[in-house]
Order: sequence, then structure tokens, then C-alpha cells
Amino acid sequence: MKVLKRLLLKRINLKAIATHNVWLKIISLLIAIVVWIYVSGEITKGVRI
Amino acid sequence: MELILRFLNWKTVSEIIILWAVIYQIFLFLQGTKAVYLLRGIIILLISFLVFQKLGLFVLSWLFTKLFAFVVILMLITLQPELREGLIRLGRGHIFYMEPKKEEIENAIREIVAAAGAMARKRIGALIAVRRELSLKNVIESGVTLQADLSGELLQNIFYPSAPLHDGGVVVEGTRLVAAACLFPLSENPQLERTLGMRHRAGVGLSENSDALVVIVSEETGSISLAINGQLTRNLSPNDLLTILKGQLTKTV
Repeated sequence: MKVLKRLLLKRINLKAIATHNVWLKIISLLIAIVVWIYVSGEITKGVRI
Repeated sequence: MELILRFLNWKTVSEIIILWAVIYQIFLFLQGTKAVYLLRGIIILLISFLVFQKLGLFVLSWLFTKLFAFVVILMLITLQPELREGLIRLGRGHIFYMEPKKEEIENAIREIVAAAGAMARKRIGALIAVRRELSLKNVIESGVTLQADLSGELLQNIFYPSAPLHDGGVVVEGTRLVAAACLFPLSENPQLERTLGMRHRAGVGLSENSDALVVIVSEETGSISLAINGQLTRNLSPNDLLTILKGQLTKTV
């Protein structure tokens, strides 16, 4: 019973972590992807030169 | 699709995840400070720079490139306290810091109201600042750090007249009692009643300088007041205080 309770609590916490500040997380992920694409593009450009 | 799959390996994914965590942390750290306004300014500068480059306005672009270095140095100087706080927070390991839930905030509000009511009945003076968006770091550093779970009993204990920490105010962040015996800035508003003591002036002063809510219990009259954005509401009943605090604090959660 205790184990089940702990698991349930953990699931709630994980859900809270995922749903908390969702928009901020999405925006930061998008910025991270854009930055990665830009930087890797610049690096490959440099290699070609 | 093939292109995406070609780039999608564990190195790429881990690089993006690390970048994401860093960017998210920067946003979180800026969220509670005045630095967010500076960030807006920098974004406007960057956009103007890009527009000037696209339009071929090279003199302006050159000037902006030179200005940008100054902006970076200026940012490091003006944001020095915030940067220090951010690095300390990073060192503590709360990368994805969780804010308390609505129910927890409501419980904390009930504890504050119960303590304020009890202290008002016993005519014990109290000064309680509740943080909202803006950081109260400077105020916290002027007092004694507690980082304790908030409870009505603890608040009453702190403000008990002969207790070592009863002078000054306490700072509450979420469900934590962060610091006690803190020095709040005094209000210089000439429109404040002359009969108001230092405790009320300090409460109003802090609410003028930040977006914090400040609960003040008068030692002389046993009345409860609340300062929000420099405005003081006096003679509140515990029920009124509960309603206002709930309205102010739970809408942002």
C-alpha cells in the first residue's frame, strides 16, 4: 500500500513538473532548436571554407 | 524526413536538451527580476540591428555592433546581484524549480491570517511581506535567513515582543518563511497619515518598491492593515484579509 502511495505521489509530481510553466518550456525548447540549427549551420559553413 | 533522421542522433538530442535546460533556467531566473525589462530592451536592439542590416543601412548597423559591446558590459554591471543569485540557484541544483501548488498557497495564506488575527487580539506588532513576482533579495539579505516551513505558530513566535527576531519584518515566499528581522525601506509618501508608525511606513515602503503584499499588525491598536502597491488598507478583519490575500495570490498561480 505504501509503495502504491509513493508511486501515485511520484506520478502526480511528474505530471506537475511537465505541466508547470508549459509555455516557457515550449518557447525555450523552440529557441534551443533554432540556436542549435543556426550554430551547426555556421559550423558546417566554416568547415566548407 | 531523411534529413531530420540524419541529424537525429544522441549527440544532437543531448546538445538540444542541454541548451533547452540552460535557456529555460535563464528565463526562470529573469522572470522574477527587473532584468526582464532590460532583456526586452536588448531584444528590441537586436531586432533593429537585423532590420538595419536587411535594409542595407550600414552606418547604423556598424553603430549598433559597437553599441552592443557596451550593452553587454552595462548588463553585467547592472545585473550583478541578479546574476549572483542565478548562479547560486544553479549551484543549489533546482534546474526545474517547482512552485507550490494552489492548495499549498491557500494553506500558507490561512496560516498568515490566523497568525495576524491572533497577534491583533494580543496587540503584538507584526510585519509580514509576501513575495509575488519581483525578488525581495535585498530585503532578505538585510535580515536573518530562516528557510522554514510557514506556520502561524512560527510567525507568532517570531513577533513575540521579547523574541530576538521580533524587530523588523519577515519575508514569505510561497509556503516558505524565508527570513526574519528584515529591514524594509520606509515610505516617504507625504500623503500618509502622520499618526502612522514606523512599522506601517516600512510596510507601505516595501509595497512601493516591489509588488509584494505586506500585512501589518499594529501594536498600539491591534488593527490589521494591508499594503499593496503603496496603498494602505486599514482596519481589516481576518476574513477580509483572507479574501484579499486569496484574490491577490492565487490568481497568479
